[in-house]
Amino acid sequence: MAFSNLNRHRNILDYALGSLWRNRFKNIGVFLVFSLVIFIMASFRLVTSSLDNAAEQLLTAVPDITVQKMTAGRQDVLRYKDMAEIEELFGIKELKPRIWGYYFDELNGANYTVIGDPSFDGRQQMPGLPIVNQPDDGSRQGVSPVVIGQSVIYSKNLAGRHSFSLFRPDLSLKSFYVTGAFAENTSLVTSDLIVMGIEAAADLFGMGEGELTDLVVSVGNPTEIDTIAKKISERIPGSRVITKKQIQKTYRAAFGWRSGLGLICLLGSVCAFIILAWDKASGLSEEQRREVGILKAVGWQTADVMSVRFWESVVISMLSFTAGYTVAWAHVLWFDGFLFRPVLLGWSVLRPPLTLLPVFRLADLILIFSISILPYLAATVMPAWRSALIRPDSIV
Amino acid sequence: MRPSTRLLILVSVIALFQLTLYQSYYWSSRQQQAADQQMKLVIQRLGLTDLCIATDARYIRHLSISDPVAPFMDHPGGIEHFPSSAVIAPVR
Repeated sequence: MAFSNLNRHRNILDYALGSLWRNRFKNIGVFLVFSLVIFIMASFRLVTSSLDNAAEQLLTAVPDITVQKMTAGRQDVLRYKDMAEIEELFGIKELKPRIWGYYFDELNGANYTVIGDPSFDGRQQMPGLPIVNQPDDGSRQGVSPVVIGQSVIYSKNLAGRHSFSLFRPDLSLKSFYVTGAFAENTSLVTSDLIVMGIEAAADLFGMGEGELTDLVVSVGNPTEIDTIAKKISERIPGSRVITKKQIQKTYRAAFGWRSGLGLICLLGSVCAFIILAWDKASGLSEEQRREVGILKAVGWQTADVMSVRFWESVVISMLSFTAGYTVAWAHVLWFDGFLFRPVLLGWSVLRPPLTLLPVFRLADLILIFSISILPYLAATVMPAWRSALIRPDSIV
Repeated sequence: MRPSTRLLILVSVIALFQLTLYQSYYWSSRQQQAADQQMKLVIQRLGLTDLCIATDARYIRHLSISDPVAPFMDHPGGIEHFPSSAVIAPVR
């Protein structure tokens, strides 16, 4: 019984496939548009979920607390005396001053992130870190050692060269010697970095003695982070205290359907499906009417005709969904989402080599499925029913 | 050959392609795990706070420690104009 039922459906499927092939130009067109829309939606979601995942994995290591100072709604400098205000707080494991800023390179329009680290020494390097070393031989006087990211090497054209200069605010030149470069596989966090000693950073930015941009606080007991953050904000008036939890929260919400690009992809796709479904629901050609009339005249039942229409829709929509989703995976995994990269990078002059690893999320699959396949199948019910009700004597 | 058999062959070809994708994904994820460990070391040592995705605007480069109104702060009446911020949902 089950076998004969299966055989009946296979026969109907054969007929439906034959019917699709007879209108192949139209159906291939529908398949391509359908696949393209699903590809765009799936690619967007795979790119953003890959970034989400990277943030979730990596940002577990961010500082427990970052302290900055605000004056008149803008970031201002901190001083070592501010640091002294909080270093006695019970529960702080480590307190590190830092100069952290941006350098706009007028020669090529690139923005570098400069980090002045108090424990950085060009000779000592940074043990344990993925840095390709070019040790400082100590022969250069008045030249500051730096470790730089891969994009900086490319941007400053430093291949085979170890020294470069940047302008101070008074337009005098400050020279640097490259003692190491961050490994390429860490580019997702180091690509635009120039790490140097804190005195060298203060000199580059023309900052006064004892001035800092932020304090990095490490807390012994993670459950006390919020309490210590509150105490810091009380002790340093006008401070902005950012906790690890806040940083992670920002990244959890940053890449999603609520972003401008996400909404464009989503709304564009929904509009495309509405047009597709409208066309499907309203169109019943004379040829299709005649076909149904003949089928009914030779003994087909209404349910059989509806089955043919159902199978046609299932084949087109499922094939399109599978093709679109699969190509989206290949696009993100093998080509690092190159269609979305121009939007991700915007006007960036430094272009970090972004390696994307897509993440499968059932919620995304269900969302894309339910806004693509389900409306299409639903839209085919009405014309299938209308066509199935055609009386054979009205046609033949 | 029946049309349904042809369809089955097509579906099998797609499944084979997906298997290749999965294998590639498996190897890439193993490499990524090693890279993640190295990146965590750098983040911890230097106290980094953000991913380096776009470097055009400061508030996109360091998303988590920027003020929500930073995009409009560059000059009075200056509205947000960097394309990379189209990918980022408003920070709350």
